[in-house]
Amino acid sequence: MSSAKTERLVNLTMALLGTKRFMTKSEIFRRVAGYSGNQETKERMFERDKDDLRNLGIEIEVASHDPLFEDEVGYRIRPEAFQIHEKFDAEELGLISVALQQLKDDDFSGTTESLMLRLNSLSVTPEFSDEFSISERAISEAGLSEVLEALSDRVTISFNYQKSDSKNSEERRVNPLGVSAWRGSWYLVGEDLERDDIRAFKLSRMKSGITRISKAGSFQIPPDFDIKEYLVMLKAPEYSVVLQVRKSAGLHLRNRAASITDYDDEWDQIEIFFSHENQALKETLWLGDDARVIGPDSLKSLVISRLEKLVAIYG
Amino acid sequence: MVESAAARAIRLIDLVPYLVSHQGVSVKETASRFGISVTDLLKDLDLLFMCGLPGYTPLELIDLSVEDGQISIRDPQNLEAPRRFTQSEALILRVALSALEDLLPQPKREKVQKLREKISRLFSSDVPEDALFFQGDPSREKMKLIEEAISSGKKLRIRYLNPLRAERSERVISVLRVKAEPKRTLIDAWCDSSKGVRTFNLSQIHDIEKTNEPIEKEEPRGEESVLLAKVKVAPDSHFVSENQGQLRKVADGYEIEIFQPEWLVRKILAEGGLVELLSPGQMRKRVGELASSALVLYK
Repeated sequence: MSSAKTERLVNLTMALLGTKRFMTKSEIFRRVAGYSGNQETKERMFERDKDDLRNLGIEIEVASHDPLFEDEVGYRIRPEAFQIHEKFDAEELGLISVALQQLKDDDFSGTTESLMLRLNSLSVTPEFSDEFSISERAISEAGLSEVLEALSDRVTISFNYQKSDSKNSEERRVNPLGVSAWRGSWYLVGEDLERDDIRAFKLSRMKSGITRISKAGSFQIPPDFDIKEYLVMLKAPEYSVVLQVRKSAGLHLRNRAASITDYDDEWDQIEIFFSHENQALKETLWLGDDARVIGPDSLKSLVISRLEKLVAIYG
Repeated sequence: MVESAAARAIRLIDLVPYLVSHQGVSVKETASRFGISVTDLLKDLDLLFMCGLPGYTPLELIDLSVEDGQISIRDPQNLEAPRRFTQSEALILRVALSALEDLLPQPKREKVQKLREKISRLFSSDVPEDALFFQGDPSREKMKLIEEAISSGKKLRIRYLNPLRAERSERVISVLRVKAEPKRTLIDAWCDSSKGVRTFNLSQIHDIEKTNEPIEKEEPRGEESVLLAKVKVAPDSHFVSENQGQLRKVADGYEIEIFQPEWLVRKILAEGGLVELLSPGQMRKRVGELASSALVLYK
């Protein structure tokens, strides 16, 4: 039974691939081996076969067969859409194979094996050059393959997400728009449907499995979408602070200061940008009596109140 | 598990171009390449033999034969070329190539970049080029040199920035071990200039150079003593999540192992009262002193 269906699927693929014109359903039933039974059975068979092939990623084109008979649609598979007809040279194949070797997660093994098998069927022998060899490094992140799949299919997903400043996690519904790796951590950037805003999500903070909650192709990714605009770590720090730092201290701040001027024999005045007030607060407190805030006033009073609190605890 | 007819059909379709490009390949090798048993492969070949184009005369059927355990294919019909990448496969490949690109120095990365662009162009995707972005770990190159030094038994010359003092020092070190923690990587090493074991924060090591001097063979003594401190953390502080791996939960707070007391003192200061250091008393005193002399600066 199952082998009859396999045979029919292969025959259907070959027939649709081999036809230049669109083949109508009645033509398919008449000419392709394996369609038998009454009209209704054949129709059901064909619908299921069509879905199976599409689920396997095979594009079946649908169009009107003949302008005079608009009610009868036809089907075909374009060879350019089904098979690799482009040229890859030996070095390119070698690079692809090195790249795929990084995907060590079991989630990816089916994909990478199948891709390698098909590339090895191109009658070009991959060429491995030592200069591209990479030390042991693996792309391995829970949920990554599901996120990529959802991004590729443009499917809305939901997951439980833990915010960085909270112990609790909450459910988010997101349209994936892009994926980024930043210093070894993976991020999904997507439209957060609860907040109606584009947000970045760290994959390691997804506390539940990823569920697909829409049909494929349920939204569009704008062609000019640039993920870098939404990655907060790429934003240049904007919170400007003026500090005085003892000449003997704070080398790590001096290295990234916008300007350093001589204040007196003991102190230098530096202008420096932080990504937010809290970071400026921590860096200043960290330096203890080697730094004082000149401005802004809000930061200055925050530092003073924290120092008073510390004195109250430890004084 | 019963294999679906569709999954098997795809395997048959993928078998054809493989056989075309590997004429005379053995049954055994093919079976292992496709992850199936020889028996299953022979059944697949029997089935393929019956597939073809409408008409289904011998001229239109896939023509293959198995002789002495070797497979040859005479007519693949229209299945000669391998199946294209699906959209999700092409996306995974783009991700893998971006990651590889990020690993390589110029000009090698240019070749990978060109290939990645070719893949995006050929396998037209609804996911635009700029929807993917990769930036690797800048400490990777440093780690590579450190690992090489450990395996080759050679000393390293480093330039180290000590944030506690405004100084950059050059040191020659024999790496003892690498401790990877969630937010930082620490290197324990025998330091020639200070004649003792010191702990270095990888992110503060600015230049690393290989030397030809063999590492200190004799088991270095005088390892920095480890102090145990205890802290109490307010619920709205990130201290716990930022220092996971170093903290051990105890009844009334957390215990933390410290190699450099001054490092913890500064961290406690930076928390501005959200984390209270309970012990040791010496360090409590130091936090209090630093806070009050800092407060004096504003009077």
